Amino acid sequence: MVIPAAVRSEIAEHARAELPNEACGLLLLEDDVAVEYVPGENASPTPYYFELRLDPVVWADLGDRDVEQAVVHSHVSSPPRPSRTDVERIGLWQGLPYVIYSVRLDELAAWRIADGAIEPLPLAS
Amino acid sequence: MTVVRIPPTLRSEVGGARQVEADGDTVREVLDDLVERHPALAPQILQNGGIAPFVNVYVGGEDVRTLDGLDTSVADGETVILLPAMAGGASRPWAPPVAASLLELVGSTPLVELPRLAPKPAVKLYAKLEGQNPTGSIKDRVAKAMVEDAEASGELQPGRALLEPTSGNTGIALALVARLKGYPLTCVLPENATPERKRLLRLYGAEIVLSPAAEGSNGAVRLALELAESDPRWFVPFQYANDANPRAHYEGTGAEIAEALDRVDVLVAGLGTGGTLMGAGERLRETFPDLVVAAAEPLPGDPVMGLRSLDDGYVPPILDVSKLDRKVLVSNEESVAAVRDLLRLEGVFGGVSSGAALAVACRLAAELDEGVVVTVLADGGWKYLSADFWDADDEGLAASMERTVWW
Repeated sequence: MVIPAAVRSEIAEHARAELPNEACGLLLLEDDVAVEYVPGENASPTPYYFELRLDPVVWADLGDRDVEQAVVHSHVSSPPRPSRTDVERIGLWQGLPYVIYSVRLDELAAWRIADGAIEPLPLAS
Repeated sequence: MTVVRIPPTLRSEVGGARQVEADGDTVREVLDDLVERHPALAPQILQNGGIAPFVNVYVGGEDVRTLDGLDTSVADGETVILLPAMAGGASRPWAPPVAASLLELVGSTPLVELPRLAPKPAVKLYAKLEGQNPTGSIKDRVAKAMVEDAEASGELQPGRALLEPTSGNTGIALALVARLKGYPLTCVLPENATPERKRLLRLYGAEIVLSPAAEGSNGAVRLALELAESDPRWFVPFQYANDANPRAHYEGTGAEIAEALDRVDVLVAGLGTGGTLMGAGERLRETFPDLVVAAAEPLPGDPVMGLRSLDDGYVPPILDVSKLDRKVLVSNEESVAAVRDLLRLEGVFGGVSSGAALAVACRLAAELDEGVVVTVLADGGWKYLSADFWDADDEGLAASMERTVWW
């Protein structure tokens, strides 16, 4: 998966703007290359939790475009590795790209979570 | 006819379609018709007679969970949108190898197994060692959360001073937080509080105002509230009614336990303000839905320091008794016996309220055939060293308890 520097800095900027809470949004991918970051609203704003909220019509329209979606959220201080909460709440996102940005470490990482297992996705810029 | 928009994550269940049709006047009817036409969708969108947890359903741009749920009406021609419900989070703050301030070291306490105290090998007993917080008690979490919450809301600003009725761990924890953040702190405590308490509070930089001994801790509360009314400079965190208290345990204590263990059947904590039981209980129940949240409550008229009997007449506003699954009474003598066993068998030096929680945890563990019991040990034994029950023999124990005036 490729996240170009410009998209990466949009994710980082959004995550810093939401401090002290976690930020979340959607990344749109074409052929495994991130082409756009859509910042979402954290409907449960705390430093340890996120609940992604986007306008439902906007999100449904994104689903009709020929792009793949990846959920993005920030960890305020912990490393960008899925937590138990992330694994438990993966729900319908099972098996799809899942991106985490650590604000404190300024690190971005991509994962795939399925059947309770966490698999890293190689990331390039 | 209603159009239902299907997210990419569910399209494989409807033959790849971006939207499908379904009939009905309510969300329930529409979804029932939808799963009749596309049975593979059923487990993804409906569970236990309700909307499945990992899907959100929108009508008119609104999440139907915020409307009338499945009974939300759907007008003919209206579009229903299904979307994945995405949630997660870090669960716990990650501790850096070098802390910039002692306040960063609040929380993330160790969890240790107590195999010698577990009544049977198939029941695992774990203790959360809250005595390992910077001032030696679980109240560091609460003090930090209450002060930072008030700072964030703008209620607490430079120039104001903290005032709290407490003779115990909360005062010491607040004294640390107040000192590091530059606020003066005054603690109101009954004049018969032990000299160690007063000395420790003064060493941490707190001012002390004494309330009449005869009025006990309620007298300290009364005096603190009177003082606060007479001078707007005071900010009273008041842990018994401050939502930041249970929240500190939801986001900290409870999340840390949920992250550490794969299974928890019973959570036991002492009943003081109710903050630990409410906050950690709520967080753990999210991960372990069948969790039993049990309060260790002292016998009326037989006080265990730091704990509270609801029968004594005061129910803290943050405590919702309906959220407690069990309330187990424990005597002072049992608490002391448990805390001595804890030191003798496991090498853990706990305070008296830890003994109460442990005694209840052992009792509930004995009721299980197998499972996991977690108990929260609120502080260490250091502040109780002058008590003579530590080395009294069993016969002397009862006598020493009678001689000990806890507050």
